[in-house]
Amino acid sequence: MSALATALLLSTLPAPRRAVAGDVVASVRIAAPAADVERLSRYVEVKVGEPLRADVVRHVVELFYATGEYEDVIVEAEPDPAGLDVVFRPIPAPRLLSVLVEGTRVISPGDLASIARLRPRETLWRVRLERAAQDVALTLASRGYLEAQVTGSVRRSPGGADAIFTVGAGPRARVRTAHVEGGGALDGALRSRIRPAPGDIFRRERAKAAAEAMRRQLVHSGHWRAQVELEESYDPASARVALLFRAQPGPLTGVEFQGARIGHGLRATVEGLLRDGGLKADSLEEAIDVLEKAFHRQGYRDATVSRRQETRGPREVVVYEVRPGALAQVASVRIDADVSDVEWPRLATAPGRPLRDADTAEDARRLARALEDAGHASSRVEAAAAEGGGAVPVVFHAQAGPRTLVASVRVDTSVPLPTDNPARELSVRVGIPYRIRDLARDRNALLIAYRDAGYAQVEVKPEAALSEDRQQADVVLHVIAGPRLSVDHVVVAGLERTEEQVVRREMTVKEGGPLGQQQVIESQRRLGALGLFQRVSVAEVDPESAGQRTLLVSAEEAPLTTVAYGIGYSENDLLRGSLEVTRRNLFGMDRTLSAFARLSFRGSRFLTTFREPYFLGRRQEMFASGFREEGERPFFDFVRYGGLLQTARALSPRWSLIVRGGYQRVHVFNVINPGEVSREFGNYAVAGPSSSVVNDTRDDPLEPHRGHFLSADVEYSDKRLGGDTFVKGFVQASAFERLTSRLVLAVNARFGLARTIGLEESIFLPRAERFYAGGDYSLRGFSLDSVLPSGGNAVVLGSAELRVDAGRYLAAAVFSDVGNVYPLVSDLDLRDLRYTAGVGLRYKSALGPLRVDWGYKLDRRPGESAYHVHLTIGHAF
Amino acid sequence: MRFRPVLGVILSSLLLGSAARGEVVERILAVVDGRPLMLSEVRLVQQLRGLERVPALEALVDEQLMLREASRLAQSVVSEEDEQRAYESLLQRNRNASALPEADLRRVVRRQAAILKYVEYRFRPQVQVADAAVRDAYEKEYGPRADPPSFEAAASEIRRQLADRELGEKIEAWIKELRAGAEIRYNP
Repeated sequence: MSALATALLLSTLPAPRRAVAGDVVASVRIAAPAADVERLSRYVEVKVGEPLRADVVRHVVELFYATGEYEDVIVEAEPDPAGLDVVFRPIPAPRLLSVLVEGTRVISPGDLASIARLRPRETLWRVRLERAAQDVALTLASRGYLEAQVTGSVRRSPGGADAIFTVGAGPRARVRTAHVEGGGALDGALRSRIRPAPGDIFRRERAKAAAEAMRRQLVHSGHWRAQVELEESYDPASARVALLFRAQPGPLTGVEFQGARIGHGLRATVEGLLRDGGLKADSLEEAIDVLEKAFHRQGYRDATVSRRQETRGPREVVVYEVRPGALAQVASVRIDADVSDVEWPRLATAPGRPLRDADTAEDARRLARALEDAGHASSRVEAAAAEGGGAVPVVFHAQAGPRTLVASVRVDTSVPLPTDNPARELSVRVGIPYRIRDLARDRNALLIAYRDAGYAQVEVKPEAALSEDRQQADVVLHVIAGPRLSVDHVVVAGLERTEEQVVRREMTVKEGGPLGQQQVIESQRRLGALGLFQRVSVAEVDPESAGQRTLLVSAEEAPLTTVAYGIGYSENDLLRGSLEVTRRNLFGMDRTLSAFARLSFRGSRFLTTFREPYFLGRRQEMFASGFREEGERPFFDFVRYGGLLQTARALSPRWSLIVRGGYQRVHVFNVINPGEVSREFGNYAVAGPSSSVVNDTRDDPLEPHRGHFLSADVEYSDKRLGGDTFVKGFVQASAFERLTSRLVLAVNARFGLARTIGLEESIFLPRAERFYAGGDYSLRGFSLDSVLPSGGNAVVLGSAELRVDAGRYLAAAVFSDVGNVYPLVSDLDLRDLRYTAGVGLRYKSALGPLRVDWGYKLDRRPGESAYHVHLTIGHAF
Repeated sequence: MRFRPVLGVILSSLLLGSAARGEVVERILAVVDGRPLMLSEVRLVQQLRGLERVPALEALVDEQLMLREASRLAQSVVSEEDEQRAYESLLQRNRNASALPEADLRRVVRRQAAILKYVEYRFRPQVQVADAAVRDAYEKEYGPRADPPSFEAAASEIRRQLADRELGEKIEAWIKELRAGAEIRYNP
């Protein structure tokens, strides 16, 4: 054994001290405030009636320390007739309560805390204070206090500690003189950029910025190699600084291209590269690369570029000599293969396109992958294209080799995975073509599965034995699981207002369970998604310990209150503004209370919502809302107020179920009745349950390009619950498909049915509950709600729209809408439909697409206008 | 210079001991980059290596810094066989160690085995002992003797000692570098 090992491991033992470990524990106590005792008790593993174990005591101290609240934990054991009285005495860490500044008053405590990035309740270790003091001193120096000295100290107080910074600012330096040297013809222009000027307070950053501005000026004037150095000399006796900007313009420089025509864009790219790179060697070489690649892309396969530098009087010119060679174009493409049952991929090499060696090489790789997918594991593909230019035929010679099928597959392990683990379903199966990609996928799946089960050091070695004729493969995946890690404790640190159970209930990795990587990541994700923390991390406290690990959840809480405001526009409301104030983490239990107000020219809406994330102890959100709304519709006005209870459940990643129960009273007035519908139900109530099912696979809810949106809503109101009795259902489906990079096809269908129940009820729904058609979201040739009759118990709508992306901010659309509204469900007749078509423009604003649609009635009736123009925000569907 | 900050540890622990009601069986003596070093660990090092409190604490600080580096390297992973070998070797050479808790001893040997593996992997390949240095050392050691062993007989042992010395110097430099970049806090 080496001397080092000997030094580390050997010694003679002194006589052992009086042993306490092994004596029976008579009592265990935590000497701390009651709130701390309650929180820390879960970590105390010392048990009354059992022998005191040193490793257990040590582990408890480590857990206490991991909370971040304590700088020391003193454990005392006093002998007692019944055994040992064990006391844990945690010593609170110095946690920042306030920042105080002593000495020269040149900086406020708030400014100092911001510069030093001191956060409330941060632990004030000596090193942290030293770093903070250093940051402050550097900042003061940048503000002109070149002799600033700052020291930090801690003063303990009840509940924490104050950070006291003693500032000795010294005199504030000013600029005595500032000169430019070496500017030559540009001296005057450079002098105008001198900052700070004589007499000004000396700020180093301004001086450096001025030097950089001078350098850019010189570069812009054609001196691409320009440098400007800043020299400062400080006189402590007078607190004055002399500045010297030493300019080295270098020669006037330029670039020329010979041998081929260079386009404007490529020229600008090369010039920019050389200018920004200061004509250094790497930028000169990079320019050659850029030029060669540009020519290769055009089909000049053999293009080469060389450079030389010429001095022409006062100018230095970099000359790039381009030898493009012959231009090659693909005449034809053929795949010469010894197999016929392979689905070949689309190739980049195509007749009529420039012949690029990079493309043919990539296509050869694509073809080889296609052969591998078909089971030809040892396939080879080579691209053959004649040298030179002109129209060149390209042939891909593919040698497929024998087709290998999987004869057997087995996982060799002494630690099997649970039967429901998805990794047990392997991609490699008997009878399918043998593919190395499948083997790699299975290997990764097994690695992930075993790591999630706590086997962090698992190794998976795949082995494939091919038969002599290479037509069969026997696959074995050897799994060496290694030791299994489990979670000993989960320690939560950093919480000030939040209850610990809010964090623990989001953790998918549990105490006593396996330490799975995916569970740790998922736990961190769920904690971040709460919106309660600015930062949250989950890490192992003791990564080198075997068997069991302690996880530390460190959280930094976010501000409790947020205010959001916005402006918007809709065809009915015209301009509208909104304000929402949200208070999070009520009572430290992740509950939320929000108040929302929206005002417009035609109405208002006030909504207060309380959110409970764990309803009845289960992970189920429940919302309780109270609202008041008033509005003006084209044919009536209304005031509505009431309350609502709502919960939602994700049935799958794409399916959601929303269930509501509510009560609202509605007053309808100023009714205009242009159609045949009764003007009953001026005031009414809605009381009862409603439910929605949603399936949403859109890639973007605001600007979808693919996917679909399906929803079905049903609402029931009952007299026995205090409302009027009716039932109402509404189904809508939208689908989006990207046809080309700029073209999206969007289609939509909507269908609504409703009826009242009971002989004493009117057969028509209350005015404000009826279906309407016409407006910026349906039958766009009509104004809002103007499809007659105005409001009915049934509606059918359909739309198709072709959306064209016209640039970064603009889009256009062509659309066609069809549909109608019917007084009663029995009046529904698909032969009685209205048709509109039109065009539209969209501006992609930060608020969403600002939309102008011109809709034209294709079946205009007497008395109706020919068209209508809509201006609104958001797509029609 | 290294021991200066811990003078307070000695004085304060004496004072603390007199203020406590019972015997202090555990506490945090120092924190190295957020990892606490315990009184029990320091006592274990004292017992294994025959050191006083302060040198034992400093040795533990060094060990913690080295272990943190070693744990980043896959080659430093200690297998169960490695741990068993090191544990048996410790018991063989130090009979009184068997009186100490086995779990503690295994933890110690596992940590030290990881550090040794790291040192062998990272620093051993850098150790080059020139033939001239071996010759010089031989002359210095055996030159004055009346009946020296032959150079060929002594060379391998001399080479091993020089290599160990050079390795020790590299480790010292490494520890110094680790300490310079670490955040070490001592409790009073």
